[in-house]
Amino acid sequence: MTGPRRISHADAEELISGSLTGDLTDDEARALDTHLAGCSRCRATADAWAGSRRLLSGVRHVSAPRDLGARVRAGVERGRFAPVPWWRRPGFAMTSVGALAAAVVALAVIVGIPRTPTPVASGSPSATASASTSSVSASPVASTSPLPPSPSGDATATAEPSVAPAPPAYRLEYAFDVPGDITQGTTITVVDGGSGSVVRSLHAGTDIVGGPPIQASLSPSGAWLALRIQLDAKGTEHLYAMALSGDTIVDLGETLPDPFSERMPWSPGDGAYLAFTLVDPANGDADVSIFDAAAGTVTQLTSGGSAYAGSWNLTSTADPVLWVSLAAGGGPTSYLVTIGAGGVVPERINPADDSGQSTSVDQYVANDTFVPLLSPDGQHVISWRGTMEATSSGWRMATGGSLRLTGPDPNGAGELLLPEMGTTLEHGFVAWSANSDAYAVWSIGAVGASLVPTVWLGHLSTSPSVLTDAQRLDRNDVPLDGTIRDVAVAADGRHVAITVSYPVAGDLAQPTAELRLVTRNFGTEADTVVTLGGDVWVGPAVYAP
Amino acid sequence: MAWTRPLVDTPPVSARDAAADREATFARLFEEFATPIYNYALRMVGDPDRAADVAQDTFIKAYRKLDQLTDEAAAKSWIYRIATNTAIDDMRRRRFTVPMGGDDDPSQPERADAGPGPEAQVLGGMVDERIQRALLALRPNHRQALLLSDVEDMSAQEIGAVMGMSYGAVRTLLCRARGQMRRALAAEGLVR
Repeated sequence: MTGPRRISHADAEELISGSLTGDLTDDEARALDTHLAGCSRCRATADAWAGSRRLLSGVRHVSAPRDLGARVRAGVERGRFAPVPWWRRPGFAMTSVGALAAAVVALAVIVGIPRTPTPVASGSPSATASASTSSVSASPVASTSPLPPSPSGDATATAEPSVAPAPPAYRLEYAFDVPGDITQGTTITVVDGGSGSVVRSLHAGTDIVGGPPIQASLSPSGAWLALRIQLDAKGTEHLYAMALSGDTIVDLGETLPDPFSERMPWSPGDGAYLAFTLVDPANGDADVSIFDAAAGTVTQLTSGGSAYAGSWNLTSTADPVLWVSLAAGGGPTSYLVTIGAGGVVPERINPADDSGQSTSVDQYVANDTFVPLLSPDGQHVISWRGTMEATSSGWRMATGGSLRLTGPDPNGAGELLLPEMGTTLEHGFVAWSANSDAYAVWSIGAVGASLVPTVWLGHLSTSPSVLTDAQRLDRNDVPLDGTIRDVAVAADGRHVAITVSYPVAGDLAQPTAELRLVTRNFGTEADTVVTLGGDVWVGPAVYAP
Repeated sequence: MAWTRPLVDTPPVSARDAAADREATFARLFEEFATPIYNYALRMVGDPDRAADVAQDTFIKAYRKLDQLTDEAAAKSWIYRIATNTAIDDMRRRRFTVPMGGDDDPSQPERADAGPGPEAQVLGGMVDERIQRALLALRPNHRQALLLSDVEDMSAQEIGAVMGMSYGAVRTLLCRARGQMRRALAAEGLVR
């Protein structure tokens, strides 16, 4: 027979709290009694909290207003509530017919944009770059050139002056602590992209699990970096959030690789929250979680197993609003979820069930819309549509899969046509630049087609609603034998940082990746590419917001 | 303040029994919870007029969602959940500002000896007001949890049903809330 378990002061405080509401098991009660018998500090806490509870429970109750019943009756009969934004009232939920076009209109209203066509630059003098210069290994230098016109495919365009690749704000490096000896551990280093100085080092086994970084996301404040690590041996990935100053690192969880889950958006403004999707390695369920940077806590936002984080919506309220998409249930559907209302992060909600029922899930619904990605200015959105099916590691487009770019003008919405990719897309990746003009699309998988390491860089100002060969980066920008792990677009929309990994020679070999810093050139001039890494792992990188 | 008049004045004959049941259910709800919900709203938002608005909207929503209440035994957590969400909506709309820092928020220093002692406050009839100020100094989720626990006498399980949180999360939240409340009461001079 064993005695009561020993508990810490922190555990004792939680049990003291539980004892006040009769929420302790017999074992917990015995453990608490034993602890209190020998701990004057916790006895004082118990007395103090009991006193506080007596004070609060003794607070005087007042009568409800005499006219409350009449007010309720009148409200029910009038069918009227307290002021509610018009788009949140019943009757404005989207229907499936013409859903996307209507969603564009509603999105435009939600983000407060004028419903007039975006001016499109005419006669842009540029052309597709025809070939890449050979890569060189060098430290990138800052670009001071203003943003030139974007490529338009106009063969008569004049050449624009080339500029050197812009350094990212930070890049990640990953290497064995002892070259050639994996048993001695590995380290991920965060390097300042401009100065080359080390910002933080993360050691496998003590700070993080061991594996190369494959994706990163910088918070708008620049204080936090979200990080995705590949666990080769397990075939899974691990997510972390780390403060760039100090030694805080928060484990966000483990996930199966899933293209639609590889999005880690920080909330606009101060970046108070990070949204991310975890696909449970045990059962393949996909659900959205929220990291609260101020509290350092992680809350599972959704339940149900087919929920993916889209992107944050711009909102006039103080509380961030997140698009959450459900893959299951008759086609992809996206819902607006309020995060942090009144200081509360909702927990384990099902947007489909809670839509319009709770304060967290808005009544606004966008049907046939999956993981919408809003531009930073909120005026455009790139989203997936099509029917979906579950796989052993998350969800994919099964039939009719396509990417669509929509903007303030609902008539201007259109498919993003991707040459050589067939008619039904299965999955892929998208990112906006901070200037809300440039967007990158890469690693698109099509049903029945092999994955081609290709990156498109579109610009709304010159090529709205269409991606063609004219927007494809030079074929030499990304080697065909490489795998694109991440793409970041600089704020000027002309520089791109691409992380490309290569097959590992063996289980004990150092994984290698290159960070290819590409400057998009125009006219007949090839893109400029500076390559970092190759013998070790360099990448991914993030640009300043 | 009893709920006496049916809201559906002329239901179809086939629906008359169901409508009568619905009205009777709602009448019982209103009778039992009108005052507790108003007081809960008052402690949440700290203003009588706003509390009346929150209580009003709570019962209007409850009436419209009455079909979702399949078990009257669960009515308490159900209506408090609606009230909680409605109060949060009210705070959002009115830009209610409260300290939003973490549990170690340095903006809420301990001031254990500030102000006169409890006896003097009782004599001055201001204890309730000071408790209310202490409540409003808490993060909204801490305030909700404490009110549901210590005023409404709910268990952690019931609070979880109201706030949409797991049992374990509620216990952790309550523990933090008690620490914050103790400091807030001390700042009001109600405890040492």
